[in-house]
Amino acid sequence: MRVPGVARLGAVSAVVLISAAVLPPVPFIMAPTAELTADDAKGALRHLRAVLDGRVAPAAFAPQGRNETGVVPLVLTIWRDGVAWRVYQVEDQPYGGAIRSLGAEIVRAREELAAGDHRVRLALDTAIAEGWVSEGGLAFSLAFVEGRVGVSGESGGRRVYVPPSELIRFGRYGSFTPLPAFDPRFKIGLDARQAASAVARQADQIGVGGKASHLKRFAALTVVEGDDLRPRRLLKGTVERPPLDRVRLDAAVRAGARYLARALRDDGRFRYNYAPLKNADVRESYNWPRHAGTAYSLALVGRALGEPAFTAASERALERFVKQLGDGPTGSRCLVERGGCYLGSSALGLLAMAEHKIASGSGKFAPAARAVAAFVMAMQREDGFFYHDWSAKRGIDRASMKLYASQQGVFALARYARAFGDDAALRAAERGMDYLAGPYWDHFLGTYFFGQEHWTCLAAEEMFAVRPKPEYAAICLAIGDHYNRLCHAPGETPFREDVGGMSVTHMFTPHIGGTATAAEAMVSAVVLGRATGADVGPIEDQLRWTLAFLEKGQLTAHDAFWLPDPGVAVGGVLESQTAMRIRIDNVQHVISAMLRGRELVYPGRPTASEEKAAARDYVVSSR
Amino acid sequence: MAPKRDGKIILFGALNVVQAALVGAIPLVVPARSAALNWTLGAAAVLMLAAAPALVFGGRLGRSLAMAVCLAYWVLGLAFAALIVASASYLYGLYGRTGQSAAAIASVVAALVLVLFWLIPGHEIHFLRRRSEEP
Repeated sequence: MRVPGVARLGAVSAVVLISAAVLPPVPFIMAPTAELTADDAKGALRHLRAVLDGRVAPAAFAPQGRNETGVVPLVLTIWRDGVAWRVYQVEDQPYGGAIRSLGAEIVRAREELAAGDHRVRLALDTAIAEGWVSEGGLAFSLAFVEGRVGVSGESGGRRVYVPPSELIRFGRYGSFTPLPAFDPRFKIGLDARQAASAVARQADQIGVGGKASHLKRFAALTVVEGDDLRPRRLLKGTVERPPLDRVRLDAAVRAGARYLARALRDDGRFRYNYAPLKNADVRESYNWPRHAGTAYSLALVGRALGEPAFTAASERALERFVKQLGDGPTGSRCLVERGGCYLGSSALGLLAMAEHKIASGSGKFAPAARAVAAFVMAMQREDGFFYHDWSAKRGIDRASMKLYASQQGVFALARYARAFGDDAALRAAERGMDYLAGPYWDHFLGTYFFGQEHWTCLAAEEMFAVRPKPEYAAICLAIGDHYNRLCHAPGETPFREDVGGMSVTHMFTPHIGGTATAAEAMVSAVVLGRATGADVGPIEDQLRWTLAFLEKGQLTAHDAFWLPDPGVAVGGVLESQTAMRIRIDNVQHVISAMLRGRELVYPGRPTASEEKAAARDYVVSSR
Repeated sequence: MAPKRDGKIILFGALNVVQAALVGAIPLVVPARSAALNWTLGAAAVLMLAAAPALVFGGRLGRSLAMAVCLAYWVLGLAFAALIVASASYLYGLYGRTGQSAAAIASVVAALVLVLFWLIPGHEIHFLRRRSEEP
């Protein structure tokens, strides 16, 4: 029988569609090595700590009849002052025997550890399932779920296991370039060469040595000791957290602001991007819009939490910003970068100066703010939108357009108008907001998607307070609804640490800063929805999950086991759970979202004793 | 005794249902802010759904109706793809490098839209035309 062409096409389409539906979970299908729960692993870690402290003998461990026959590969790391001091691996024994063997290794290390005054924490990785991988390429790279799946390989006659935390530590995830010709910067998954290199390095650590071959993957159950020595599960880059509440949320905001205040250097610039696991700065050029945005959030938090130190830090950052100003068009002042002025940098500086005025009542920056506001208004087009670049040589560049700049301009003018009582600025902001809420989205795809429109929502909320136009609320509600659909709700990802995060499918770890901007927009959507009587219940639910996700991205004292200098890092917010870098704008967006969202979803104020208890999570013990 | 039905007619009737489900899912999975657009897609899905029994049971008139619906899908697909390409050019012109990436993605989406709206209706039009030309 001849099969019609359309039937063949239908069959191919069906195979493609079914594959698309079925393939994503495939990377997680592996043969289990043991039926171990997180509580089992925590019990084992408690035993190893007791051995380290000399309270019990290694042989005292009994795994309650579990897994005494199957082989369970284990990796124990002794972290000393945030550095992996010793790594032990047992890959050929049943669970109980393996833990006892690790205990015996600890006994040998005990004397050396006792010699100094060190902060010592243990981490135990259990390979609970193993599976094969292809030789390389895209299939290989996607078989490794970031932060959950580790790599093993044969080296020196043994199978060596590299836990996911080790792959995170050395930035191995996000190393495969699937489309080198199209975009060499786009990286996903785990590159096969990086995997082999990680195995070879781990082999050195455990004293095996040799080249890596026959790579496999394994699902890891990782438990680590927190600051209080209690075992906690490590979920990608940070330890598991209790459910979020108002007390913890306030403590997180305060800790984030403290991180930023500490990151302010003597020259008035921030430590821009910090790698906490390496205790080193990430080499990257300084970004003035992010500097200004950070100064804004410090003033915002300083006022809301009644902490003058944060407002003072904002002031120092602004003093540096003002030094950077140069002459703009028609007697205005603007932030000069690379020989010209970019609207976004100046607008965010204006926003920070306005917020500083609102927080402190000081008119210290009034002349500078007036001059920068004049620049922002000089860049406005007839239709209310803005030009984005100006230079003394070429004047206004009418072709160059950049993301966010116009939205930042509208928000800054509106906030400046409120802080300094400038009607002309308010009128300019209104014209800008009219454009953003209307013609800006007059194209077909504009009905289906939004980019990162948090500044639009912030501007809409600010403008709605003085000019309550329904279209301002409508645009932000649509944006909030859009982000609600992009962020994971419970059940939409198999990884509980990713619930609330914004990501394209559960295959990719959500970006924390990007998710924070979505949260900022959802906060404004809830505010405007409540003001206009819209049903914002679903956005409120998502906001709760998203704020909890953001809190998991912040380093606490219990994450200090692998931080060489926790005094610097704690309170900082990671780029993602698998990209251990702290950039100021990610901290800024997270604490701003938390601060503005807390009243909406967790009303009520914590007591002083609750605040004190929650603050302990951000204080690292010396031992 | 009921007349024996052509297997291909039944196949295309079933494909019409599949097509209706795919198009009808768009406003549910990716709702547009424009209610008119959501209703247009919903109406298109209903029409395609109606075309299925019309094609199988409706004789010559039913086949004409199915043909008309398929042609409408071609026009609709073309219109959507053109609007997406116009949006892509807007983003390309407005936002430089970022706009280029957005435009590239939009172009891929336009191609997928054409596949969605043209693939099954295209084959059905071809089949129905050949059938009408048969002696």
